[in-house]
Amino acid sequence: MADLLRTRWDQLAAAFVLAAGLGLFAAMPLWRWAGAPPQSRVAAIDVAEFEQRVEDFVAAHGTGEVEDGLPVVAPPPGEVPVIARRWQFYPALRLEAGQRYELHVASTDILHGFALEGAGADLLLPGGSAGVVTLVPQAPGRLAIQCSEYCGIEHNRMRAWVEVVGPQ
Amino acid sequence: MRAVDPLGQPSAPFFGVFSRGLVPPLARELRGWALLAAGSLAVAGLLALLLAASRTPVLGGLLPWGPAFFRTALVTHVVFSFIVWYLAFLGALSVVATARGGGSRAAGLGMAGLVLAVLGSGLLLVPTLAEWGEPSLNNYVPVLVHPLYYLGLGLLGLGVTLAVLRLFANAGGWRDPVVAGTLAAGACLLVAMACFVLAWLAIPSGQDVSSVNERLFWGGGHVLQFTNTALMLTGWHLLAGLAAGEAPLPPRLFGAAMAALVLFVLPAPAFYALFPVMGWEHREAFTLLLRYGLVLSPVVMGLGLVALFWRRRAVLRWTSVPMLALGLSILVFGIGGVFGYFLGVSDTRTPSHYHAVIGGVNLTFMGLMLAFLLPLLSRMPDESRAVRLQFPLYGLGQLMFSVGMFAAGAAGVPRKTAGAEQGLDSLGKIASMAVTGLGGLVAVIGGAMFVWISLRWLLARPRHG
Ligand SMILES: [Cu+2]
Repeated sequence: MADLLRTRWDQLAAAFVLAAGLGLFAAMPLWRWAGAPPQSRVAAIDVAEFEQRVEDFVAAHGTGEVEDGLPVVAPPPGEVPVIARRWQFYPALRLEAGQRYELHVASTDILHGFALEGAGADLLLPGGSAGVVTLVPQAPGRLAIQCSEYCGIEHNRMRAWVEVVGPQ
Repeated sequence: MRAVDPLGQPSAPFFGVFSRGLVPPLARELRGWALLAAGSLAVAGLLALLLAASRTPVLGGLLPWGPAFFRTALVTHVVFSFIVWYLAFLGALSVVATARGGGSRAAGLGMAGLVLAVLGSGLLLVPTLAEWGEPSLNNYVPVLVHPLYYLGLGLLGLGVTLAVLRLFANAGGWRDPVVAGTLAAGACLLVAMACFVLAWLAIPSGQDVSSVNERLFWGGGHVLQFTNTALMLTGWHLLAGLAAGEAPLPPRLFGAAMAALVLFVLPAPAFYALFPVMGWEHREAFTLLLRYGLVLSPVVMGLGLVALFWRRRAVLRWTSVPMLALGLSILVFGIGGVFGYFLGVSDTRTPSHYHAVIGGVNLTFMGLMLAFLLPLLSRMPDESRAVRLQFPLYGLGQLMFSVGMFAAGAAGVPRKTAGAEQGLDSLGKIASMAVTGLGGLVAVIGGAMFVWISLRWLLARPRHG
């Protein structure tokens, strides 16, 4: 038995491991296509203009409530501008299940990530750029948002959630 | 006693050249790396005590550091327990593999490497204790943003690189698993170093310092995990030899498992040409490299070990030091690997995965130190109760810590529940956090015992005859 292991079986197994390793390696682009969320196009923005746009948006759709120090907005379906900056996502969102939203997320300072549970999205946003994530929340509850790129000492706390409510 | 002593009769055929011991210059070098390894955990432990004390009301006021010291100490604690500790083991095994090949070429390179690594590690403590530089808790290699800190890391990396190059100059053939495993770990280290240098050159100016650190250490940090894996599997091979007197895999298969690790990381430097270093594809490429490259070899080795344990079940002494280290390492590492497939978006399941994986690697290195390196240096810890107890304490503590964290993460997934259910939910959360805390405490006791035992034996006079 030991002899067998050390001759033909040994060689076959070694060949198999190498072939499997090479196969896994060759398949990496496939996995990337199939598994990883695609990076949507990210475009440069005018930071001051975007900040003004978000302030106007909060004024128009704010509920008056405050959560974690952020104003809560409950916008109608359509475009929703969101700022990613050290170390928050501004403002807090309350969205309706079954509706279609286009989140326009912009970093106004440095490189941040925008990973949104339920949308399969993970944007990487250089400072002064914006990307778009389409979100159709399925059911009432909370969808976690997390910064996915280290951005400073409080990076781990750069988290938020979308509160999803039932149809009004 | 057969299971403890690589220089003793029963396992001597397995260890071949080691039955004659090491020539004095190599023994000196090996002791240096072993001291750096054990010392790095001692430093990491002391820093952990200091950072806990800095957060304690009365005690914190007595220390010469301010409240910001917490993060400074945390950075250096991680670097010593995660970077210095592992790289010192690469240095130690490079000496072992050099001896294995009977090599005497480029001896100066080996000593120079050790000196640089010790200097670099020591240098890291200067900005830490002086509180120089902003702490940055980026992935893999957290840093204090101060020139001395980068210099220390650079010297440490250069030192280990020299030790690896000396091994390459003396490499005595892939048929020997110890040589094959250490060569593979060394090759992965060279690729990691190339990635650090390429990142340094490629990162454009004008980036925020936290983004610079993250991307500087992202690629090479991922590749370093291949080094750690190759070292752990080489450790599994050695511990299996000590515990069962037999290799778990035929040499050619072990060599192939090691080659598979190297094959995966060889193209990594090309990522720096293919994808912009600050971009999304760059980040993703290394994540995928790790996810698909690091599974095959440990699984093949694990299967070989299970088959070996089954074949030798009648003669194995389950409570011997190498067997305890090996068995617990496979258990903790394996559970950590399985946890890796259940990562939540933003809960404690991600840290539960890497704490278990790191715990598994650490158990192997602790076993190697007490059951292999110390006897090789003619310093044989007796199999006293303390030596044996250390492994279940550390291993089961780590396991409790990780399982508790995983459970807390699974319980913490936000969902709408009725009031009564929510109460039950948080009770489950409290219970799992309690298990985590208790596990952490038990693991710290086991780790402290390891540091004490290994430093005591390394600093004592060798026993001859
Ligand atoms: Cu961020």
